[in-house]
Amino acid sequence: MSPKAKKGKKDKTDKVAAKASAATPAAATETLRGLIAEKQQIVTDGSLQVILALASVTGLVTVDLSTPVPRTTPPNLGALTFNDPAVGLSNMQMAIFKGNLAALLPQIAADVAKIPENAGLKIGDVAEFVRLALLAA
Amino acid sequence: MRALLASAASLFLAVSSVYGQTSFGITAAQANRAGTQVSVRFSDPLADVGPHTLASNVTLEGAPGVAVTTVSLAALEPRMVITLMLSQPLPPSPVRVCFSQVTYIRADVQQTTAAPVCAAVVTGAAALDAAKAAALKVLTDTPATPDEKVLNASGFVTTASTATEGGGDVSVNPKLSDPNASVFVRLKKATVEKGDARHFEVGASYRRGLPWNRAQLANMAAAPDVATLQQLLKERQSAVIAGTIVNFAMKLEGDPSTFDATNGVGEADYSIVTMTKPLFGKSGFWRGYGIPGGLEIGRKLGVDATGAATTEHDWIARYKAGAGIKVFFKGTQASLVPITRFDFAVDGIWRYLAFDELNFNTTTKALDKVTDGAHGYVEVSLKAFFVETGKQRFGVKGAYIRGSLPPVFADVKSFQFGFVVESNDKD
Repeated sequence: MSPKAKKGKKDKTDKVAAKASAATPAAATETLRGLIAEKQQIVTDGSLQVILALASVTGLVTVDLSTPVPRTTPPNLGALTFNDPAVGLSNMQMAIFKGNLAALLPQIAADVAKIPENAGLKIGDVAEFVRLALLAA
Repeated sequence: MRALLASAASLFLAVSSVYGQTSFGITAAQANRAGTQVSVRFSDPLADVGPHTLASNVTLEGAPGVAVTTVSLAALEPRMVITLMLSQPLPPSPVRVCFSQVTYIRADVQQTTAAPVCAAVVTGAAALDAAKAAALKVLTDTPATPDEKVLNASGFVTTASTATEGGGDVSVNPKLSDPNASVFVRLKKATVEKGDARHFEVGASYRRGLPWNRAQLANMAAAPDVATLQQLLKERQSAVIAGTIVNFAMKLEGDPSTFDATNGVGEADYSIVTMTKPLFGKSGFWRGYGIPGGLEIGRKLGVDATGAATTEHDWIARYKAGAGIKVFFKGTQASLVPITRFDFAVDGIWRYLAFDELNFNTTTKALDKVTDGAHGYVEVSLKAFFVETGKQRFGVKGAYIRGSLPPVFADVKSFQFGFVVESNDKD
Protein backbone atom coordinates (compact mmCIF):
# COMPACT_ATOMS: atom_id res chain seq x y z
CA MET A 1 0.00 0.00 0.00
CA SER A 2 1.38 3.44 -0.92
CA PRO A 3 2.05 6.01 1.86
CA LYS A 4 -0.72 8.20 0.38
CA ALA A 5 -3.25 5.35 0.51
CA LYS A 6 -2.15 4.49 4.04
CA LYS A 7 -2.66 8.11 5.09
CA GLY A 8 -6.15 8.15 3.53
CA LYS A 9 -7.14 4.97 5.35
CA LYS A 10 -5.75 6.35 8.64
CA ASP A 11 -7.70 9.59 8.18
CA LYS A 12 -10.97 7.67 7.72
CA THR A 13 -10.26 5.50 10.79
CA ASP A 14 -9.40 8.58 12.84
CA LYS A 15 -12.63 10.27 11.76
CA VAL A 16 -14.81 7.37 12.95
CA ALA A 17 -12.77 6.94 16.14
CA ALA A 18 -12.96 10.62 16.99
CA LYS A 19 -16.73 10.68 16.51
CA ALA A 20 -17.15 7.56 18.66
CA SER A 21 -14.73 8.44 21.49
CA ALA A 22 -16.10 11.92 21.99
CA ALA A 23 -19.46 10.63 23.13
CA THR A 24 -21.14 8.26 25.58
CA PRO A 25 -21.48 4.58 24.54
CA ALA A 26 -25.12 5.14 23.57
CA ALA A 27 -24.26 8.19 21.52
CA ALA A 28 -21.34 6.33 19.93
CA THR A 29 -23.69 3.51 18.90
CA GLU A 30 -26.07 6.10 17.46
CA THR A 31 -23.19 7.72 15.55
CA LEU A 32 -22.13 4.36 14.18
CA ARG A 33 -25.71 3.58 13.17
CA GLY A 34 -25.87 6.96 11.44
CA LEU A 35 -22.66 6.26 9.54
CA ILE A 36 -23.98 2.86 8.44
CA ALA A 37 -27.27 4.41 7.33
CA GLU A 38 -25.38 7.12 5.44
CA LYS A 39 -23.24 4.49 3.70
CA GLN A 40 -26.34 2.45 2.86
CA GLN A 41 -27.93 5.55 1.38
CA ILE A 42 -24.91 5.94 -0.91
CA VAL A 43 -25.40 2.51 -2.55
CA THR A 44 -29.05 1.50 -2.70
CA ASP A 45 -30.87 1.62 -6.02
CA GLY A 46 -27.95 3.09 -7.98
CA SER A 47 -29.77 6.32 -8.86
CA LEU A 48 -27.25 8.40 -6.90
CA GLN A 49 -24.42 6.78 -8.87
CA VAL A 50 -26.23 7.60 -12.12
CA ILE A 51 -26.40 11.25 -11.01
CA LEU A 52 -22.73 11.27 -9.94
CA ALA A 53 -21.59 9.66 -13.21
CA LEU A 54 -23.61 12.22 -15.15
CA ALA A 55 -22.43 15.20 -13.09
CA SER A 56 -18.87 14.00 -13.76
CA VAL A 57 -19.44 14.68 -17.48
CA THR A 58 -21.65 17.79 -17.43
CA GLY A 59 -21.44 20.85 -15.23
CA LEU A 60 -25.09 21.60 -16.04
CA VAL A 61 -26.13 18.85 -13.61
CA THR A 62 -25.46 19.47 -9.92
CA VAL A 63 -26.52 17.60 -6.82
CA ASP A 64 -26.84 18.75 -3.23
CA LEU A 65 -26.18 15.82 -0.91
CA SER A 66 -26.52 17.79 2.31
CA THR A 67 -30.31 17.38 2.40
CA PRO A 68 -31.97 14.14 3.65
CA VAL A 69 -32.98 13.37 0.06
CA PRO A 70 -30.45 14.49 -2.61
CA ARG A 71 -31.59 17.50 -4.65
CA THR A 72 -30.51 17.79 -8.27
CA THR A 73 -30.42 20.61 -10.77
CA PRO A 74 -32.34 20.30 -13.02
CA PRO A 75 -34.88 18.84 -10.57
CA ASN A 76 -36.76 16.57 -13.01
CA LEU A 77 -33.59 14.84 -14.17
CA GLY A 78 -35.11 11.36 -14.48
CA ALA A 79 -37.65 12.61 -17.02
CA LEU A 80 -35.01 14.21 -19.29
CA THR A 81 -32.86 12.70 -22.00
CA PHE A 82 -29.06 12.89 -21.91
CA ASN A 83 -29.03 15.27 -24.89
CA ASP A 84 -31.61 17.64 -23.42
CA PRO A 85 -30.22 21.22 -23.47
CA ALA A 86 -30.45 21.19 -19.66
CA VAL A 87 -28.07 18.21 -19.55
CA GLY A 88 -26.03 18.71 -22.73
CA LEU A 89 -24.45 15.31 -23.44
CA SER A 90 -23.38 14.08 -26.88
CA ASN A 91 -23.16 10.45 -28.01
CA MET A 92 -19.40 10.69 -27.59
CA GLN A 93 -19.79 11.78 -23.96
CA MET A 94 -22.17 8.84 -23.35
CA ALA A 95 -19.12 6.58 -23.64
CA ILE A 96 -17.46 8.56 -20.82
CA PHE A 97 -20.66 8.49 -18.73
CA LYS A 98 -20.68 4.70 -19.01
CA GLY A 99 -17.03 4.55 -17.97
CA ASN A 100 -17.79 6.70 -14.92
CA LEU A 101 -20.80 4.59 -13.97
CA ALA A 102 -18.83 1.34 -14.27
CA ALA A 103 -16.13 2.80 -12.01
CA LEU A 104 -18.73 3.85 -9.41
CA LEU A 105 -20.59 0.53 -9.57
CA PRO A 106 -17.91 -2.05 -10.42
CA GLN A 107 -20.21 -4.89 -9.34
CA ILE A 108 -22.40 -4.28 -12.43
CA ALA A 109 -19.70 -3.09 -14.87
CA ALA A 110 -20.65 -5.81 -17.39
CA ASP A 111 -24.28 -4.61 -17.37
CA VAL A 112 -23.26 -0.94 -17.67
CA ALA A 113 -21.29 -1.85 -20.82
CA LYS A 114 -24.57 -2.94 -22.42
CA ILE A 115 -26.10 0.56 -22.24
CA PRO A 116 -26.23 2.01 -25.78
CA GLU A 117 -24.11 5.12 -26.40
CA ASN A 118 -27.17 7.08 -27.44
CA ALA A 119 -27.65 10.53 -25.91
CA GLY A 120 -31.34 10.26 -26.80
CA LEU A 121 -31.87 7.82 -23.92
CA LYS A 122 -34.05 8.90 -21.02
CA ILE A 123 -32.00 9.21 -17.82
CA GLY A 124 -34.79 7.58 -15.80
CA ASP A 125 -34.73 4.53 -18.10
CA VAL A 126 -31.00 4.10 -17.53
CA ALA A 127 -31.52 4.45 -13.76
CA GLU A 128 -34.20 1.75 -13.91
CA PHE A 129 -31.85 -0.63 -15.73
CA VAL A 130 -29.11 0.08 -13.18
CA ARG A 131 -31.55 -0.57 -10.29
CA LEU A 132 -32.49 -3.98 -11.69
CA ALA A 133 -28.86 -4.83 -12.50
CA LEU A 134 -27.90 -4.09 -8.87
CA LEU A 135 -30.73 -6.27 -7.58
CA ALA A 136 -29.66 -9.10 -9.88
CA ALA A 137 -25.95 -8.75 -9.03
CA MET B 1 -81.19 18.94 -29.00
CA ARG B 2 -77.77 20.70 -29.08
CA ALA B 3 -77.93 21.19 -25.30
CA LEU B 4 -78.76 17.52 -24.84
CA LEU B 5 -75.78 16.46 -26.95
CA ALA B 6 -73.48 18.82 -25.04
CA SER B 7 -74.70 17.38 -21.71
CA ALA B 8 -74.14 13.84 -22.95
CA ALA B 9 -70.63 14.73 -24.11
CA SER B 10 -69.81 16.30 -20.73
CA LEU B 11 -71.10 13.23 -18.93
CA PHE B 12 -69.05 10.96 -21.19
CA LEU B 13 -65.89 12.99 -20.53
CA ALA B 14 -66.50 13.00 -16.78
CA VAL B 15 -67.02 9.23 -16.70
CA SER B 16 -63.93 8.69 -18.89
CA SER B 17 -61.91 10.87 -16.56
CA VAL B 18 -62.93 8.89 -13.48
CA TYR B 19 -62.47 5.49 -15.05
CA GLY B 20 -59.34 6.50 -16.95
CA GLN B 21 -57.47 7.46 -13.78
CA THR B 22 -55.46 4.58 -12.40
CA SER B 23 -55.38 4.05 -8.67
CA PHE B 24 -52.18 4.60 -6.72
CA GLY B 25 -50.21 1.51 -5.73
CA ILE B 26 -47.06 -0.58 -5.95
CA THR B 27 -46.18 -1.61 -9.49
CA ALA B 28 -43.35 -3.97 -8.51
CA ALA B 29 -41.64 -5.17 -5.33
CA GLN B 30 -38.49 -7.14 -5.99
CA ALA B 31 -35.98 -8.70 -3.63
CA ASN B 32 -32.32 -8.74 -4.56
CA ARG B 33 -30.56 -12.01 -5.29
CA ALA B 34 -29.37 -12.36 -1.67
CA GLY B 35 -32.82 -11.51 -0.27
CA THR B 36 -31.39 -8.79 1.97
CA GLN B 37 -32.90 -5.85 0.11
CA VAL B 38 -36.34 -5.12 -1.36
CA SER B 39 -36.82 -2.51 -4.08
CA VAL B 40 -40.37 -1.15 -4.34
CA ARG B 41 -41.57 0.82 -7.36
CA PHE B 42 -44.75 2.89 -7.06
CA SER B 43 -47.17 4.08 -9.72
CA ASP B 44 -46.69 7.78 -8.85
CA PRO B 45 -43.84 9.98 -7.56
CA LEU B 46 -43.49 9.97 -3.79
CA ALA B 47 -43.18 12.95 -1.46
CA ASP B 48 -39.68 13.53 -0.08
CA VAL B 49 -41.02 13.35 3.48
CA GLY B 50 -43.93 11.25 4.70
CA PRO B 51 -44.92 8.11 6.56
CA HIS B 52 -43.45 5.94 3.79
CA THR B 53 -39.93 7.06 4.68
CA LEU B 54 -40.14 5.61 8.22
CA ALA B 55 -39.02 2.00 8.73
CA SER B 56 -41.59 1.61 11.52
CA ASN B 57 -44.38 2.05 8.96
CA VAL B 58 -43.18 -0.83 6.76
CA THR B 59 -43.96 -4.46 7.55
CA LEU B 60 -42.99 -7.69 5.86
CA GLU B 61 -45.86 -10.17 6.13
CA GLY B 62 -44.72 -13.78 6.03
CA ALA B 63 -41.18 -12.95 7.18
CA PRO B 64 -41.17 -13.19 10.98
CA GLY B 65 -37.98 -11.89 12.53
CA VAL B 66 -36.99 -9.88 9.44
CA ALA B 67 -37.00 -6.15 10.17
CA VAL B 68 -36.60 -3.18 7.86
CA THR B 69 -33.47 -1.35 9.01
CA THR B 70 -33.33 1.49 6.47
CA VAL B 71 -35.79 3.08 4.05
CA SER B 72 -34.12 4.96 1.17
CA LEU B 73 -35.93 7.07 -1.36
CA ALA B 74 -34.47 7.17 -4.89
CA ALA B 75 -32.07 10.07 -5.45
CA LEU B 76 -33.38 10.70 -8.96
CA GLU B 77 -36.61 12.63 -9.47
CA PRO B 78 -39.38 11.71 -10.05
CA ARG B 79 -38.82 9.55 -6.97
CA MET B 80 -40.92 6.43 -7.54
CA VAL B 81 -38.63 3.85 -5.94
CA ILE B 82 -38.00 2.98 -2.30
CA THR B 83 -35.21 0.62 -1.25
CA LEU B 84 -35.65 -1.34 1.98
CA MET B 85 -32.57 -2.74 3.69
CA LEU B 86 -33.40 -5.81 5.78
CA SER B 87 -31.95 -7.12 9.03
CA GLN B 88 -31.57 -10.63 7.55
CA PRO B 89 -32.41 -12.47 4.30
CA LEU B 90 -36.05 -13.12 3.45
CA PRO B 91 -37.36 -16.67 3.89
CA PRO B 92 -38.09 -18.76 0.76
CA SER B 93 -41.84 -18.65 1.50
CA PRO B 94 -44.08 -15.92 -0.05
CA VAL B 95 -43.65 -12.46 1.49
CA ARG B 96 -45.75 -9.31 1.21
CA VAL B 97 -44.48 -5.81 1.85
CA CYS B 98 -46.92 -3.30 3.34
CA PHE B 99 -46.64 0.44 3.87
CA SER B 100 -49.16 1.62 6.44
CA GLN B 101 -49.42 4.97 4.63
CA VAL B 102 -47.76 6.56 1.61
CA THR B 103 -47.68 10.22 0.61
CA TYR B 104 -47.54 10.58 -3.17
CA ILE B 105 -47.82 13.36 -5.72
CA ARG B 106 -50.41 13.35 -8.50
CA ALA B 107 -51.11 16.38 -10.68
CA ASP B 108 -48.77 18.43 -8.44
CA VAL B 109 -50.94 17.68 -5.40
CA GLN B 110 -49.70 15.67 -2.40
CA GLN B 111 -52.07 12.95 -1.26
CA THR B 112 -51.74 10.43 1.57
CA THR B 113 -53.30 7.00 1.29
CA ALA B 114 -55.94 6.10 3.85
CA ALA B 115 -55.40 2.33 3.66
CA PRO B 116 -52.16 0.32 3.71
CA VAL B 117 -50.41 -0.15 0.36
CA CYS B 118 -49.21 -3.74 -0.10
CA ALA B 119 -47.74 -6.03 -2.74
CA ALA B 120 -46.19 -9.47 -3.00
CA VAL B 121 -42.39 -9.45 -3.06
CA VAL B 122 -41.01 -11.15 -6.16
CA THR B 123 -37.97 -13.29 -5.43
CA GLY B 124 -35.75 -15.50 -7.56
CA ALA B 125 -33.02 -14.91 -10.11
CA ALA B 126 -35.21 -15.74 -13.12
CA ALA B 127 -37.69 -12.94 -12.38
CA LEU B 128 -34.86 -10.45 -11.84
CA ASP B 129 -33.09 -11.43 -15.05
CA ALA B 130 -36.35 -11.09 -17.00
CA ALA B 131 -37.03 -7.63 -15.54
CA LYS B 132 -33.46 -6.56 -16.31
CA ALA B 133 -33.73 -7.81 -19.90
CA ALA B 134 -36.99 -5.85 -20.34
CA ALA B 135 -35.36 -2.68 -19.01
CA LEU B 136 -32.41 -3.14 -21.40
CA LYS B 137 -34.81 -3.57 -24.31
CA VAL B 138 -36.32 -0.16 -23.52
CA LEU B 139 -32.81 1.31 -23.89
CA THR B 140 -31.86 -0.52 -27.08
CA ASP B 141 -35.23 0.29 -28.68
CA THR B 142 -34.78 4.04 -28.13
CA PRO B 143 -34.19 5.69 -31.54
CA ALA B 144 -30.64 6.91 -32.12
CA THR B 145 -30.01 10.62 -31.65
CA PRO B 146 -30.76 12.35 -34.95
CA ASP B 147 -28.86 15.58 -34.31
CA GLU B 148 -25.39 14.06 -34.30
CA LYS B 149 -23.63 12.03 -36.88
CA VAL B 150 -20.13 10.79 -37.39
CA LEU B 151 -18.65 12.33 -40.52
CA ASN B 152 -15.86 9.89 -41.04
CA ALA B 153 -14.52 6.86 -39.27
CA SER B 154 -11.94 8.87 -37.39
CA GLY B 155 -14.44 9.59 -34.65
CA PHE B 156 -14.91 13.06 -36.09
CA VAL B 157 -18.30 14.40 -35.04
CA THR B 158 -20.30 17.26 -36.48
CA THR B 159 -23.73 18.76 -36.11
CA ALA B 160 -23.82 20.14 -39.59
CA SER B 161 -27.10 20.22 -41.47
CA THR B 162 -28.28 16.97 -42.95
CA ALA B 163 -29.66 18.71 -46.01
CA THR B 164 -27.47 20.16 -48.75
CA GLU B 165 -28.72 21.60 -51.97
CA GLY B 166 -27.75 19.35 -54.83
CA GLY B 167 -26.20 16.74 -52.58
CA GLY B 168 -26.44 14.45 -49.65
CA ASP B 169 -24.79 14.11 -46.27
CA VAL B 170 -25.86 10.77 -44.90
CA SER B 171 -24.78 8.75 -41.91
CA VAL B 172 -26.30 5.40 -41.00
CA ASN B 173 -25.34 3.49 -37.87
CA PRO B 174 -27.28 0.22 -37.56
CA LYS B 175 -27.47 -1.36 -34.09
CA LEU B 176 -25.21 -4.25 -33.13
CA SER B 177 -25.46 -6.56 -30.15
CA ASP B 178 -22.30 -5.04 -28.63
CA PRO B 179 -23.05 -1.38 -27.79
CA ASN B 180 -19.35 -0.50 -28.12
CA ALA B 181 -19.36 -1.72 -31.72
CA SER B 182 -21.11 -0.11 -34.66
CA VAL B 183 -21.49 -0.54 -38.39
CA PHE B 184 -21.46 2.69 -40.35
CA VAL B 185 -22.29 3.94 -43.84
CA ARG B 186 -21.35 7.56 -44.52
CA LEU B 187 -21.74 9.65 -47.63
CA LYS B 188 -20.77 13.22 -48.44
CA LYS B 189 -21.74 13.95 -51.97
CA ALA B 190 -22.93 17.08 -53.78
CA THR B 191 -23.42 18.22 -57.33
CA VAL B 192 -22.47 21.80 -56.52
CA GLU B 193 -19.17 22.99 -58.01
CA LYS B 194 -16.51 23.02 -55.27
CA GLY B 195 -18.98 21.47 -52.87
CA ASP B 196 -18.47 17.78 -53.63
CA ALA B 197 -16.21 16.00 -51.13
CA ARG B 198 -16.65 12.72 -53.10
CA HIS B 199 -16.51 10.85 -49.82
CA PHE B 200 -18.11 7.49 -49.09
CA GLU B 201 -17.21 4.89 -46.53
CA VAL B 202 -18.66 1.74 -45.04
CA GLY B 203 -17.21 -0.27 -42.20
CA ALA B 204 -17.32 -1.42 -38.61
CA SER B 205 -15.85 0.26 -35.55
CA TYR B 206 -15.29 -0.42 -31.89
CA ARG B 207 -14.83 2.33 -29.33
CA ARG B 208 -14.44 2.48 -25.58
CA GLY B 209 -14.78 5.43 -23.22
CA LEU B 210 -12.31 5.78 -20.37
CA PRO B 211 -13.02 8.09 -17.43
CA TRP B 212 -10.56 10.82 -16.52
CA ASN B 213 -8.87 10.50 -13.08
CA ARG B 214 -10.06 7.00 -12.21
CA ALA B 215 -8.55 7.25 -8.71
CA GLN B 216 -10.93 10.11 -7.93
CA LEU B 217 -13.89 8.00 -9.08
CA ALA B 218 -12.67 5.11 -6.92
CA ASN B 219 -12.57 7.50 -3.94
CA MET B 220 -16.14 8.57 -4.77
CA ALA B 221 -17.25 4.92 -4.88
CA ALA B 222 -15.65 4.33 -1.48
CA ALA B 223 -16.63 7.66 0.11
CA PRO B 224 -17.34 7.07 3.81
CA ASP B 225 -19.97 9.84 4.03
CA VAL B 226 -21.95 12.24 1.87
CA ALA B 227 -19.80 15.24 2.86
CA THR B 228 -16.69 13.58 1.41
CA LEU B 229 -18.66 12.57 -1.67
CA GLN B 230 -19.92 16.13 -2.17
CA GLN B 231 -16.37 17.50 -1.96
CA LEU B 232 -15.03 14.92 -4.42
CA LEU B 233 -17.82 15.73 -6.89
CA LYS B 234 -17.11 19.44 -6.58
CA GLU B 235 -13.44 18.79 -7.45
CA ARG B 236 -14.46 16.59 -10.38
CA GLN B 237 -16.87 19.18 -11.80
CA SER B 238 -14.13 21.83 -11.76
CA ALA B 239 -12.12 19.79 -14.30
CA VAL B 240 -12.32 20.48 -18.04
CA ILE B 241 -11.56 16.99 -19.34
CA ALA B 242 -14.25 14.34 -18.79
CA GLY B 243 -12.48 11.36 -20.31
CA THR B 244 -10.88 9.76 -23.34
CA ILE B 245 -12.03 7.44 -26.09
CA VAL B 246 -10.11 4.84 -28.03
CA ASN B 247 -11.54 3.93 -31.41
CA PHE B 248 -10.70 1.13 -33.87
CA ALA B 249 -12.28 0.69 -37.29
CA MET B 250 -12.04 -1.31 -40.50
CA LYS B 251 -13.59 0.31 -43.55
CA LEU B 252 -13.85 0.54 -47.29
CA GLU B 253 -13.67 4.09 -48.59
CA GLY B 254 -14.52 5.09 -52.13
CA ASP B 255 -15.36 7.89 -54.54
CA PRO B 256 -19.18 7.65 -54.67
CA SER B 257 -19.27 9.04 -58.22
CA THR B 258 -17.63 6.10 -59.97
CA PHE B 259 -16.11 3.87 -57.26
CA ASP B 260 -12.96 3.73 -59.41
CA ALA B 261 -10.97 4.78 -56.37
CA THR B 262 -11.56 2.38 -53.51
CA ASN B 263 -9.35 1.73 -50.49
CA GLY B 264 -9.40 -0.84 -47.70
CA VAL B 265 -8.33 0.94 -44.50
CA GLY B 266 -7.82 0.01 -40.86
CA GLU B 267 -7.62 2.83 -38.33
CA ALA B 268 -7.04 3.57 -34.69
CA ASP B 269 -7.34 6.90 -32.89
CA TYR B 270 -7.48 8.43 -29.45
CA SER B 271 -9.82 11.30 -28.48
CA ILE B 272 -9.90 13.57 -25.46
CA VAL B 273 -13.44 14.63 -24.56
CA THR B 274 -14.26 17.70 -22.46
CA MET B 275 -17.02 18.07 -19.93
CA THR B 276 -20.13 20.01 -20.89
CA LYS B 277 -19.52 23.41 -19.32
CA PRO B 278 -22.26 25.95 -18.52
CA LEU B 279 -22.36 29.26 -20.39
CA PHE B 280 -24.36 32.41 -19.51
CA GLY B 281 -25.45 30.96 -16.18
CA LYS B 282 -27.03 27.73 -17.31
CA SER B 283 -28.79 29.13 -20.38
CA GLY B 284 -26.17 27.56 -22.58
CA PHE B 285 -23.17 25.28 -22.69
CA TRP B 286 -20.06 24.39 -24.60
CA ARG B 287 -18.36 21.07 -25.10
CA GLY B 288 -15.53 19.86 -27.26
CA TYR B 289 -13.11 17.11 -28.16
CA GLY B 290 -9.62 16.75 -29.51
CA ILE B 291 -7.95 13.95 -31.44
CA PRO B 292 -4.23 14.32 -30.75
CA GLY B 293 -3.36 11.34 -32.89
CA GLY B 294 -4.63 8.56 -35.07
CA LEU B 295 -3.35 6.27 -37.79
CA GLU B 296 -4.97 5.03 -40.99
CA ILE B 297 -3.19 2.14 -42.67
CA GLY B 298 -4.52 0.43 -45.79
CA ARG B 299 -4.18 -0.44 -49.45
CA LYS B 300 -5.64 0.83 -52.67
CA LEU B 301 -8.01 -1.65 -54.25
CA GLY B 302 -8.70 -1.82 -57.96
CA VAL B 303 -6.69 1.15 -59.25
CA ASP B 304 -3.07 2.22 -59.17
CA ALA B 305 -1.62 5.55 -58.15
CA THR B 306 -2.84 7.18 -61.35
CA GLY B 307 -6.36 5.73 -61.26
CA ALA B 308 -5.69 3.02 -63.83
CA ALA B 309 -6.97 -0.52 -63.25
CA THR B 310 -4.32 -2.73 -61.66
CA THR B 311 -3.74 -5.86 -59.61
CA GLU B 312 -0.77 -4.26 -57.81
CA HIS B 313 -2.12 -2.52 -54.75
CA ASP B 314 -0.20 0.41 -53.27
CA TRP B 315 0.00 1.05 -49.56
CA ILE B 316 -1.78 3.86 -47.76
CA ALA B 317 -0.44 5.38 -44.51
CA ARG B 318 -1.92 8.48 -42.90
CA TYR B 319 -1.49 10.29 -39.59
CA LYS B 320 -4.45 12.36 -38.45
CA ALA B 321 -5.41 14.82 -35.73
CA GLY B 322 -8.56 16.82 -35.16
CA ALA B 323 -10.73 18.85 -32.85
CA GLY B 324 -14.26 20.18 -32.51
CA ILE B 325 -16.36 22.42 -30.34
CA LYS B 326 -20.08 23.02 -29.95
CA VAL B 327 -21.64 26.09 -28.35
CA PHE B 328 -25.33 26.12 -27.50
CA PHE B 329 -27.52 28.84 -26.05
CA LYS B 330 -31.21 28.77 -25.27
CA GLY B 331 -32.67 32.17 -24.44
CA THR B 332 -35.67 32.92 -22.30
CA GLN B 333 -38.45 35.38 -22.99
CA ALA B 334 -36.89 37.68 -20.42
CA SER B 335 -33.45 37.69 -22.05
CA LEU B 336 -32.22 40.89 -23.67
CA VAL B 337 -30.90 39.09 -26.76
CA PRO B 338 -33.59 38.52 -29.45
CA ILE B 339 -32.14 35.06 -30.23
CA THR B 340 -34.20 32.27 -28.67
CA ARG B 341 -31.75 29.53 -29.58
CA PHE B 342 -28.21 29.50 -30.93
CA ASP B 343 -26.28 26.44 -32.05
CA PHE B 344 -22.70 26.78 -33.32
CA ALA B 345 -20.25 23.99 -34.13
CA VAL B 346 -16.77 23.75 -35.62
CA ASP B 347 -15.19 20.41 -36.49
CA GLY B 348 -11.86 19.94 -38.17
CA ILE B 349 -9.54 17.10 -39.10
CA TRP B 350 -6.03 17.14 -40.47
CA ARG B 351 -4.31 14.27 -42.26
CA TYR B 352 -0.72 13.74 -43.31
CA LEU B 353 -0.35 11.30 -46.21
CA ALA B 354 2.93 9.37 -46.10
CA PHE B 355 2.50 7.91 -49.62
CA ASP B 356 1.02 9.24 -52.85
CA GLU B 357 -2.75 8.85 -53.09
CA LEU B 358 -5.23 9.56 -55.85
CA ASN B 359 -6.35 13.15 -56.18
CA PHE B 360 -9.42 14.37 -58.06
CA ASN B 361 -8.41 16.94 -60.64
CA THR B 362 -11.05 19.71 -60.64
CA THR B 363 -9.79 21.02 -64.02
CA THR B 364 -9.94 17.76 -65.98
CA LYS B 365 -12.69 16.26 -63.75
CA ALA B 366 -10.71 13.02 -63.60
CA LEU B 367 -8.53 10.97 -61.23
CA ASP B 368 -5.37 11.79 -63.14
CA LYS B 369 -3.04 13.10 -60.43
CA VAL B 370 -1.68 12.12 -57.06
CA THR B 371 -1.09 13.92 -53.80
CA ASP B 372 0.67 13.42 -50.47
CA GLY B 373 1.52 15.54 -47.43
CA ALA B 374 -0.95 17.59 -45.39
CA HIS B 375 -4.69 17.77 -46.07
CA GLY B 376 -7.16 19.49 -43.77
CA TYR B 377 -10.93 19.59 -43.63
CA VAL B 378 -13.13 21.91 -41.58
CA GLU B 379 -16.88 22.34 -41.19
CA VAL B 380 -18.45 25.32 -39.48
CA SER B 381 -22.18 25.32 -38.88
CA LEU B 382 -24.47 27.83 -37.28
CA LYS B 383 -28.18 27.86 -36.51
CA ALA B 384 -29.94 30.79 -34.87
CA PHE B 385 -33.65 30.96 -34.10
CA PHE B 386 -35.50 34.21 -33.49
CA VAL B 387 -39.16 33.20 -33.17
CA GLU B 388 -40.69 30.21 -31.42
CA THR B 389 -44.34 29.29 -31.54
CA GLY B 390 -45.95 26.39 -29.70
CA LYS B 391 -44.90 23.76 -32.21
CA GLN B 392 -42.25 25.35 -34.41
CA ARG B 393 -39.25 27.64 -34.32
CA PHE B 394 -38.00 29.85 -37.14
CA GLY B 395 -34.49 31.02 -37.88
CA VAL B 396 -31.50 30.98 -40.18
CA LYS B 397 -28.68 28.56 -40.72
CA GLY B 398 -25.32 28.72 -42.38
CA ALA B 399 -22.47 26.34 -43.05
CA TYR B 400 -18.93 26.72 -44.33
CA ILE B 401 -16.92 23.76 -45.54
CA ARG B 402 -13.29 23.90 -46.64
CA GLY B 403 -10.69 21.20 -47.31
CA SER B 404 -10.57 17.65 -48.63
CA LEU B 405 -11.40 14.12 -47.51
CA PRO B 406 -10.28 10.62 -48.56
CA PRO B 407 -10.21 8.77 -50.83
CA VAL B 408 -9.70 11.30 -53.68
CA PHE B 409 -9.11 14.51 -51.67
CA ALA B 410 -11.32 16.64 -53.93
CA ASP B 411 -10.94 20.29 -53.01
CA VAL B 412 -14.12 21.57 -51.33
CA LYS B 413 -14.93 25.19 -50.63
CA SER B 414 -18.59 25.89 -50.07
CA PHE B 415 -20.85 28.22 -48.14
CA GLN B 416 -24.52 27.64 -47.45
CA PHE B 417 -27.11 30.00 -46.02
CA GLY B 418 -30.84 29.67 -45.66
CA PHE B 419 -33.92 29.94 -43.55
CA VAL B 420 -34.87 27.03 -41.32
CA VAL B 421 -38.05 25.87 -39.63
CA GLU B 422 -37.73 23.15 -36.99
CA SER B 423 -40.23 21.27 -34.90
CA ASN B 424 -40.09 22.13 -31.21
CA ASP B 425 -40.32 18.39 -30.49
CA LYS B 426 -36.71 18.10 -31.61
CA ASP B 427 -34.93 19.61 -28.64
